[in-house]
Amino acid sequence: MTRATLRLPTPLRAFCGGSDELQLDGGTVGELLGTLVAQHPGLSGRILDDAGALRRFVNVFVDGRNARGEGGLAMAVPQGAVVTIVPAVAGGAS
Amino acid sequence: MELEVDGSQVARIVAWVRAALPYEACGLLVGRADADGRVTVVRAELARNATTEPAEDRYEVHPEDFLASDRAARAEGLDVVGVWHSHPDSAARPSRTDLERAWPGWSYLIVGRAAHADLHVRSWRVDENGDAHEERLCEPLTESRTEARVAGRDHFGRPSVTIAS
Repeated sequence: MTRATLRLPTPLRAFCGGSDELQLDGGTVGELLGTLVAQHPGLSGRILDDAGALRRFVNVFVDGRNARGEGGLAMAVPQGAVVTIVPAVAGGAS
Repeated sequence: MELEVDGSQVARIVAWVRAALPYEACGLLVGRADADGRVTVVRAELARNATTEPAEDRYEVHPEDFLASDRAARAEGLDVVGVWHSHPDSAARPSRTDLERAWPGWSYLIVGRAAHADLHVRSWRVDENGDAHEERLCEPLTESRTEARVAGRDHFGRPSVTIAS
């Protein structure tokens, strides 16, 4: 098990006591997010879908690399990594 | 709810919007959010529009650009406090797509160009129910006034900014 720093964007901080970053255990992105939602259940539906997969409008970067292209939830999280939740910022005129 | 933004930053956004026409432009607002609901924009940043849908009426901030802005903001003790984007051919109010994809807690500044008329700038926040609420735009009191005048009122008495085409 490794320990990493998880950085949260402003819209998600209200669900974890206002913290902008947390120290969490998890050897993979999936394990890390599992630890996160176990501690802060209100975040669950905003990050993961009903099947436990990463929601379409959320990206997770591990030390600057997008987990979607590198195994998704199975991507390894090195000791001391900085993991950032990046919400999809999207919309449009119609 | 108030969004404090210097006119020079609005002018930067408008220049990016004009350069991107007829496509949507987008980017992030970096600054501070106070406990009383007031948001202060320190700077506006341009992002790549990474949408895979038609860019005439869709935007998606490139996730790598978000990551870079977030990293730089944190290093300065700031945050990404909002988003800006343009409506190249419609009003500066949130569309259905905007509302569906908005994150509560951020300010959404929209540059609208309804019927190819003058540009209008308005800002909104979306609550947990997906309802939009307009926020007042204001300029820092200590800054000099610039070309893009903030804190004006449109003919409905709503807060807005108008920049002549």
